[in-house]
Amino acid sequence: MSSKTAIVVGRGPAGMLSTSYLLQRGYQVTVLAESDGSLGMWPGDFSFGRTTDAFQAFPIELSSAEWSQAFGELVALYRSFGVTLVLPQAQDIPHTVTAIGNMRPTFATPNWQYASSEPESLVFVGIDGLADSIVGAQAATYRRRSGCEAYEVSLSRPPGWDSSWGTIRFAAYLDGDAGASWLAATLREALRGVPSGIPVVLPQVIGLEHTEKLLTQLSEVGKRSVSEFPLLSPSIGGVRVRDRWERLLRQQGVRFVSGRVREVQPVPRALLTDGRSFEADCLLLASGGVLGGGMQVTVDGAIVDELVNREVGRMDHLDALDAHGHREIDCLGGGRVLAVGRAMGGWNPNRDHNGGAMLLATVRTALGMCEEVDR
Amino acid sequence: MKRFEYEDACIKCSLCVTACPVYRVDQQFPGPKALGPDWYRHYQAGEAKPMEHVSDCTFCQLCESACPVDVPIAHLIAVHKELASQSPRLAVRDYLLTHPQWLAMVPSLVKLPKQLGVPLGISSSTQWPAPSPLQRSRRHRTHQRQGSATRRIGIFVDCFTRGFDSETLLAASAVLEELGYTAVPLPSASHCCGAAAYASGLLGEAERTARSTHRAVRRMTSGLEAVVTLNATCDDTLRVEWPRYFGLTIPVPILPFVDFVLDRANPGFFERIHGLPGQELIYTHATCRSKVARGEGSLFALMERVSERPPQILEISCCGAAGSYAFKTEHTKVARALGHRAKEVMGEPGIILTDSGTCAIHLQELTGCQTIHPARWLHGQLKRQEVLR
Repeated sequence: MSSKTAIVVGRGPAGMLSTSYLLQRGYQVTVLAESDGSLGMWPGDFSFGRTTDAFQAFPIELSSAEWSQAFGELVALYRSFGVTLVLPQAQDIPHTVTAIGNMRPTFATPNWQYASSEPESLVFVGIDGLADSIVGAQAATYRRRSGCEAYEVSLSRPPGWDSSWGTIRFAAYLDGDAGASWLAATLREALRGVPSGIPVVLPQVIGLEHTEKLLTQLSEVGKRSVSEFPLLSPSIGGVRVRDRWERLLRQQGVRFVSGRVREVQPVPRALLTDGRSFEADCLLLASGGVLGGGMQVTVDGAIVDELVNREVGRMDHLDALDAHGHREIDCLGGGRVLAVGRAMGGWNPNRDHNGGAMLLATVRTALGMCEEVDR
Repeated sequence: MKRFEYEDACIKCSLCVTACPVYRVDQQFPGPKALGPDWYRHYQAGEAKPMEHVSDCTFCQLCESACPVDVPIAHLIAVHKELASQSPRLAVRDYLLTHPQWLAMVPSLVKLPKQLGVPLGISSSTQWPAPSPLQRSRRHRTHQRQGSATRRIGIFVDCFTRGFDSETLLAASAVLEELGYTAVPLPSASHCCGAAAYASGLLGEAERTARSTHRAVRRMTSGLEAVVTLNATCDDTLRVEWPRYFGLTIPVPILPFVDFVLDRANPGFFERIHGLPGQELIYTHATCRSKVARGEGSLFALMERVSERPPQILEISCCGAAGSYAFKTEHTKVARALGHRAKEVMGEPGIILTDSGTCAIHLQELTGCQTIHPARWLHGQLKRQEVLR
């Protein structure tokens, strides 16, 4: 076969993004991952940081034209697996609301999730029996932070509810006809007396497969915007993105191999603990891990297992990796083995709210390097 | 021997719950996190009260495979199942169902009226397989050529294949011969890898069964290059669970049939099959345990190389058959709810390929489409090609 081949280690957002963009560039991709990625723990929105200020310090800096192109490509990619990402119209950074009523910066946001550039009055909906749905505290915090009015309404437990109902169970229930009618009826009742026109935010459990349809119907019937706020893990928004994205990649012929990578050699070759070995023209290490607990490449080129803070190897000891320069950023040299996402050190999205920018910048840079090496 | 590692590492991320097929369709099922790591902590603290519904787990192990911190979730649930009390009536049934090697010796038992199984808790609506059409005594020797100089590959003959699907064994042997290997079916007598007992929480029985099978397999492996498996669950059990939980190893590599063909066949083999006109639409179904053990995409990759029409992926999670799961009355509803998804996602009729006999009969019943092992499809195409030549 004549097409170029690539290995991606890890199936979280950085791994999936790398895989999709490698496919677009004509690579045949094999994904090696020993567990699920962090997509199911993340609502699926791409953040950019707290400001669009060009002087915001990112470990990889792109021009505003490059950022705009990168986000444009992302929107097109999401559309290809059936998720509509909304980009902010103006220059400012929009915010979403959290389960405890904070305003968290976001940027490219799936259309089911609440996002707004200006604080505004909101109706917070709680569901009895859903963990992390604490509407009283949420509305109080939002009032304090935004200076706007926050209405609170509660929906009673759905029929058949028991204590085993987590977010996935709620979402699966609302995907069915019985759940959808229950939600429409109880929400209509609960919103009686709340001033019209004020946008409604619901906990992010409004279905896994029929979310967009359900939210559109609720908005049309209630004549006000209805969207979701993200909950903690497992995050239904991320599960929707994960399931649809993986489905597309499978159909595009991507092989998802289950297994743990024991060693990465500069060939590039990945050796698994079960003895299998995979070779390709380039290898992207996207194994930053859930909560940053996977492999990370530090600025001095050491590969560290973040969970136990143990050095497992050094990139510069794998000869040929440094042959092409590029050590100014910790992207493992300009070789054929590159780190992306959280595996690339220097970013701290927990602190800086720039995880989306991190994903786009690192994947984009790594793909640029792959192409450069091929030339 | 310490049974587990990382059994207490749960970070409560709940990714296991997002991967669980039963949790999505059964509103009473507490899910893998509650039944596995959460329960196990109580168990270790001496508060070992088994939870209701623990036996509704299919043991597909997708939870364990999703876990980012290596908690052996499904295997903790198996310990949980072991402690769950079962009525004597169902205990008898489970004991029988977890010894499929017995049924494989007398496969014609499935011809008995289904109503006879009802008092035991055996589902009367789940489709039973048909016994293999060939004589038991003959069927495993057909392709065995003693003293041959060619490269020898073992084929692990699992209970289902032995009792109900000798066509697949013959087809796999023929395909391997086509690739230049001599196929050696093993073990010679009816044995089970122990997966059925493990899935039902009969851990001691699983280990005894595995040890006996291990002895029978090991003595036949000298001179073999590898052992090829025809069933994804047995594959995972032999390669991963035997060494990890029972300390049993086989001195040669164990590989799924599909991976072996994809890896070893030369381009000419693929081209010969690919050129055949008028093929039906192929759906590939990667079983849960094959996803867990090896990953997904190899069957699809193989079919992309040999099918004239582009294959499609049967976009479902677990089909619900799960070995003996669908045969138990109390699981019929969940098993059918999971399997019905297959019918919903199929755009047009076609043939479904999957490397598990129980998944195949379940999917065939619920979709109305022929469902067979990929070896049989490949063999069928090779035979057609000979006729056309």
